[in-house]
Amino acid sequence: MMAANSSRDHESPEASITDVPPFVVAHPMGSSIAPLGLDRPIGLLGGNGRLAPGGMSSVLGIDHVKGLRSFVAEACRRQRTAGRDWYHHPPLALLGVHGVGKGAVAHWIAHNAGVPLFRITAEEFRLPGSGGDHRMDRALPCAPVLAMAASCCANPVIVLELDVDAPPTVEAAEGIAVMIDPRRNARWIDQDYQTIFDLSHISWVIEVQGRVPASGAYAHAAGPVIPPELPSPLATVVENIGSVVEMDALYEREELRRLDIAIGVCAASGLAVDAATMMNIHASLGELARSRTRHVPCADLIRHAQQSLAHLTSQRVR
Amino acid sequence: MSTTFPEPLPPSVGGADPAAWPHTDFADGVSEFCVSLERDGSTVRILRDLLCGEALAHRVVAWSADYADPADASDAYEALSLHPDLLNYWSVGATAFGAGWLAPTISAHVQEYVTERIESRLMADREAEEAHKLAEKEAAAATKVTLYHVARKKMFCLTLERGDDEFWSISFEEKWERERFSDWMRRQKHRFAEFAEYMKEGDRFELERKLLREMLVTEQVVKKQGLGAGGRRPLRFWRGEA
Repeated sequence: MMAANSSRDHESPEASITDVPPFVVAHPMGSSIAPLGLDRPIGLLGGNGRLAPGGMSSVLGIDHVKGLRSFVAEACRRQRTAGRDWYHHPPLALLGVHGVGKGAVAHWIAHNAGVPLFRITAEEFRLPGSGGDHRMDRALPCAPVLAMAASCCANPVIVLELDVDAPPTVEAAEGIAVMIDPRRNARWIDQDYQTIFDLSHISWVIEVQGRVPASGAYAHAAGPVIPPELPSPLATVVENIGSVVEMDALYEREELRRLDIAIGVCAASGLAVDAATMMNIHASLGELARSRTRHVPCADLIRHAQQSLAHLTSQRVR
Repeated sequence: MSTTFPEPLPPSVGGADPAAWPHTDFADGVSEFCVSLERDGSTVRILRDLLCGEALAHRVVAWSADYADPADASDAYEALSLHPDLLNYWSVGATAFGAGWLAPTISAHVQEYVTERIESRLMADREAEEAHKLAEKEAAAATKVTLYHVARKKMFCLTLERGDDEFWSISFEEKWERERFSDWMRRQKHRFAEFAEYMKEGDRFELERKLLREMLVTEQVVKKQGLGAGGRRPLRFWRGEA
């Protein structure tokens, strides 16, 4: 598990832990003790006007992903109208091939919501009682609980990375489905710790990566193309309660994708980037040529934009 | 065409509180985001709207241009309407970089649109003119009467046709007979319309008799004048002299 974003809320004094609603996520059963001190209140982050219509719903950077802004806006509206001043969205599945920008989208959500983001692969996602006897980390709770404890935040964004080439077992998928299902996750029981956890404020993003179509000489070795697809227990929950967004990197929308990435990199840098610099970064992304059928991986675009930003900033300092 | 591109307007909220979501009649009113193009008199705008059900929750004027002439605004609106797939891209760029970023692109699209419209009008005019000429030609062909030499069922015929309509014909058993009549008939072109008029009411054989009689009279007159060619086709070298 990897924490990818320490949100600004942790750094800025106006949004310190005392300002956010406290919330207890662990309730021990009987005489047991909640792990990692989670029986004490932790924060629910992402308020402070972010949920307003002019807040994160209107921040640039995700327009190349069809339907995503509406999804985020609806999540914010529901939270706000229910009087909950912290960020939470229903389970979101992002389906797409490698490099299409699923990770960047999850990062945008966490960054603009002001909540920490954790990435977990399906392999890392150990459920209580699933092979724990053979592992040294048996004493550790499962990943979402660890994420909440590590960030002192009851509503982090947790990205679950799934790959069609290594799908989770049916048991694991069913276990994850219980965790992400808002009808059941408010009273999720960890049998190992005899503790009831409230996972209902976690915003889940499930990234499903399809197999990239191979080109040229490697076409035979790469095997058939497998479209990204949610495992069926997860699909049932996400399709009923959350949203499935199929991401692509169509040639026709490439300019918008690169524009969003340039804006996203500038915003995430924390620097005061002026429009001219941002324009130059966007223009520099044009150097990475793409074919009509094969997109430039999002990570390459981000790296290039970051390098351009560093170069332009250092020039300005000189 | 004069255009002014004002500084990006501050995000305007059309009657909605930017800090509060509107309460809709539908408890489950879904939020929708859309980018649209709007024309208001001589102003054209690209809007980024956040809708809640049918209520406007938040509006950002991504780009706006005031045109001196409303006709120019209309041109700009129509030109940009042709690219709905680019509106989102333009709205993001203009919001991030300012209206100046989009100004040259918009001007180029409007210029292209106006040029194409002028060219298409010229093309339409040319096509209309060609169609008119063709129609005139067809109309002329429909009114013009033509004499044709035709062979039918081992008979040698002469026909008079207006357009595709054959209104009179005469048949001969021998070719030379037809050529003899044709020598005279081809000098009666100025009367073909008169024959057509006659045939609207008259009888085909009556006209046939009349024309053969006239041919014989002409042959006699020409012979008396010493201009006849002799043989089976006395009017062979006749050129219509009275």
